[in-house]
Formats: sequence, C-alpha cells, structure tokens
Amino acid sequence: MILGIIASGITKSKLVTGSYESIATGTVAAGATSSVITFSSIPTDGTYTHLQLRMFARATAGDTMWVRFNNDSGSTNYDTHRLNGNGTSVGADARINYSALWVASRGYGISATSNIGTAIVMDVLEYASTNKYKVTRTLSGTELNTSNSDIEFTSGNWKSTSAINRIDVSISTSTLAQYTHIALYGIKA
Amino acid sequence: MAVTYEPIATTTLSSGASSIEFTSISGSYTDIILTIEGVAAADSGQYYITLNSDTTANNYSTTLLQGDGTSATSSRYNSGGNSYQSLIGWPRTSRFNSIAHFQNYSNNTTYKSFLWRYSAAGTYGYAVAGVNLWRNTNAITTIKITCTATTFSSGTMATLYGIKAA
Repeated sequence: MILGIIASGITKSKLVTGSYESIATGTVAAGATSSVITFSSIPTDGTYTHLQLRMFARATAGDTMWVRFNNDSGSTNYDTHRLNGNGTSVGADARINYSALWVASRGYGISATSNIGTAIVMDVLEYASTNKYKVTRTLSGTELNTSNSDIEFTSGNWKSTSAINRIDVSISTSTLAQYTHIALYGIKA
Repeated sequence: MAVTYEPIATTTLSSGASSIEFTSISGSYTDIILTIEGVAAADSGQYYITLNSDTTANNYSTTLLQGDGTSATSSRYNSGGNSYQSLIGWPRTSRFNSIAHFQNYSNNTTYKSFLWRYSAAGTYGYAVAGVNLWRNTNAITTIKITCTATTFSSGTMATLYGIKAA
C-alpha cells in the first residue's frame, strides 16, 4: 500500500479527493466513562481497502487496551507481538492465542493520569479480505515523564478470514475515561 | 465528499536555516501531522519542536525507542534542564526525516501527546519512535522546528497536514 500525500502548492481543485475518508468517531464526554467504543456496520463491499484508527485514549485506571473484531472474543483467536521502551530499557514479548489484540500493554497501559492521554495509530490492512487472516500495525505512546511512560510497537493478528464489519475498543480491567476520542478512517487503494 | 486528509502548509528552504515555523494553525481539524525531510549542514545536535512559542521549563518531555544498527535503547528527556524543548530528530548530512502525529491538537481540555518517528541512514543513522508531551491545555496554533547546533540545508521541506474526522 502506498498512500500518496500531496503537499500544498497544488490547488485543492486538483487534489485527488476521497482516498482517505472518515467513517465514524467515538468519544467519551466530559464527566462520563464508557466500557467500550464500538464501530459497527463498517463497509465490506470494497469501498475501502484498509482501515486506520486514530486514538487519544484515557482510562479510569491504567491498563491494557483491548481491540476485538466482529465481536469475536474467542480465547485463542488473537496474537500480539510487542516491542517497547520506557525511557530506561527496551522490552519485547508476545501474547499468543488470546481473546483480543493487546495495545499499549507493556508499560503502565492507557493513561489514567489527569490531563494526559495515550496517543495511538492503528492500521488494519486488507480488512475486508475473505482469504486472509487480518494483520494490524500499531504505534502507541504514553508520556508521563516517569518510568511508567511507554512507546510501543505492536503487531497483531486476528486469526479469521471474515471481513471486518465491527471493531470494539475497551480497557481490560477498567473503562474508557472522559476526553477519549477514537476516529475510524477508510483508505481506498 | 469533503476532503479528510489535506495539506495545510509547506515550507521548502531556499537557503540554510536553523528553524522552520508554522503559524496561525487552524483549529478546524481533528488531528494534524507534521513531516520534515531534508539534509543538514552538519551531523550535530538535535532538532526539536516548540509549541505556541512556549519555552517554559519542564513543559515538555519525551520517551523514545531507538535502534542505531548495533543496539536498541530507550531514553527519556525532560525539557527542564535541556536546551531543547521537544525532541523529534537529529540533523544529518545524509537524508533524514521525521513524521509527528498530533491527535486532538485543538482541544482546550487536555495536555497534548504526540507520536513521532524518525529515520536517517548512513554512518550516524537511527530508526526511532517516540512519544512527547506538552503540558499545556491550549490548542496548538504554532509549531516551530529548531536545530540545536547546526542548520537545515536548502531543499529541506516541512509540511503540515490536517485530518478531519466525521
């Protein structure tokens, strides 16, 4: 996949529009919490080739973010590999045969610190294919100026050939906190 | 269909300069993305971001993960004692580039966290990913990229993009 980005200097009328489109947005309002943010009825008719989730996430208590596809919580259906740094040391491990993809999980987890969120960009490649397991690539980061900070690369695998029509985002043992903002985008090939 | 991902501004240097700045950034997007690609006059120092001209001590910190071709390390920097505000790369006489993602940059409620990646090949090359924090709840309206010890060379290009969610 090559996502071409055209720099300014070209008038908007000449830009190729529609290759990167907003699908839906989920937020947690001020004063609220949410157990899950769900994106449903994602087009699988060839409208898009890839998906991207762009997140500013907060939790009521710091812990791992879980991402599931098509409401699948089968206990062995997801694999995650992780590489992270906490400002002092580098670590790597894997979570093989789990019930969800793990995101921002090696350190403190999703930020529960007042005013501070975890930034996440997740790519889901060829999400509508019915011939392949689904792979994800994620970069996440929580900066607290402490050893609980975390910059993390994650690769994920959902072991299903079903097209993805639903994505659920939650926190493993707590809830999504106020000011969480998750946006889903579709990318056309 | 409204444009979702669009360029806001580009600067291409016609001569060497120690900094590049974007001002009057619109608050109408959901996220903004900064890219910089180019060559520097020397393999010296770092380049960092200053937001909204804020040089207040301890307002910035960075945690990064890097590989230099031999080993992988992780470091953390706080702007309190350093001359640079918010690190996103190292100037190189070979080509270098950085991309930084500012999620929810225009809200007036939370501090601003942003992800960045950097790469440069050659003798002093790195592959780096980092997360930075600006401890300020103001919307981001200016971004300045500054070299600490050298200059960006002619031809270095920085571009700001806006992403608008539904």
